[in-house]
Amino acid sequence: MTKPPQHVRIAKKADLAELSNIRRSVVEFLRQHNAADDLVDDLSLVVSELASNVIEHTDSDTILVVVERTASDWVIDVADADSIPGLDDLSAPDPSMITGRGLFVVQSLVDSMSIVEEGGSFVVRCRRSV
Amino acid sequence: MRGHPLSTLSGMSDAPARLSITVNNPASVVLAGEIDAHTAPQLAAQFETLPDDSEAVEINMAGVDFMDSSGLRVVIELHNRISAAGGALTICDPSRSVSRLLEISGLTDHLNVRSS
Repeated sequence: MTKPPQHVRIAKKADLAELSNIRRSVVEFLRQHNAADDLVDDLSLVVSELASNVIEHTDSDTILVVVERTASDWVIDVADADSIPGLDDLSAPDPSMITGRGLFVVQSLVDSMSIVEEGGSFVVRCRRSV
Repeated sequence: MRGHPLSTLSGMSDAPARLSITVNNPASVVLAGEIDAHTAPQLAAQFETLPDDSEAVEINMAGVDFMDSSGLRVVIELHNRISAAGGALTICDPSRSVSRLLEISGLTDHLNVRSS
């Protein structure tokens, strides 16, 4: 039986209309690895939040999402994250607040979240243990 | 009278319609599909048409396959508006995806959620 690929690289136009297609590609990759439904839901949500954030703030024409299955973690990279808001204050917003939940939700679903520099641009990187 | 989908929104040409909004009457809305930053503005526009003085508005979310914080923002906006006018918004039969988002966001107790 063929082993599934260890990563998927999804490059799309930086357009909110692509969010659904990005999620579908991520779900397909996770299913290839027999990921449980809860994990598929959680990582789809993580990717959607990060991709939305990057698309809404980037000047780039394209968005790149990479999901990798390592021995210990699921790793999600989303670029170009040059203009993503800081990750310093991600406390839970007041329930009546309308905005400010996206990155808080992401933080709640992963084990780590950071912004790293790769090849001259910034990538928001999340890890969730397998 | 049976409601009908007021609007749908398609993504890429190879993607199916992504969000269906059915208003059975001003106090009962049925949502199905995906609510994200692309489709949430359409939902917000539909919610804008609901009267401010509605005493009780129910949104059935059993058919919502996916929702992120963009959708949550629209729902909270409506909740705040209806509550300010003395009414109540109820989220009925949230799907697994919606329930998970409400739980993570700490809104399960803040919003009125009813599962049958």
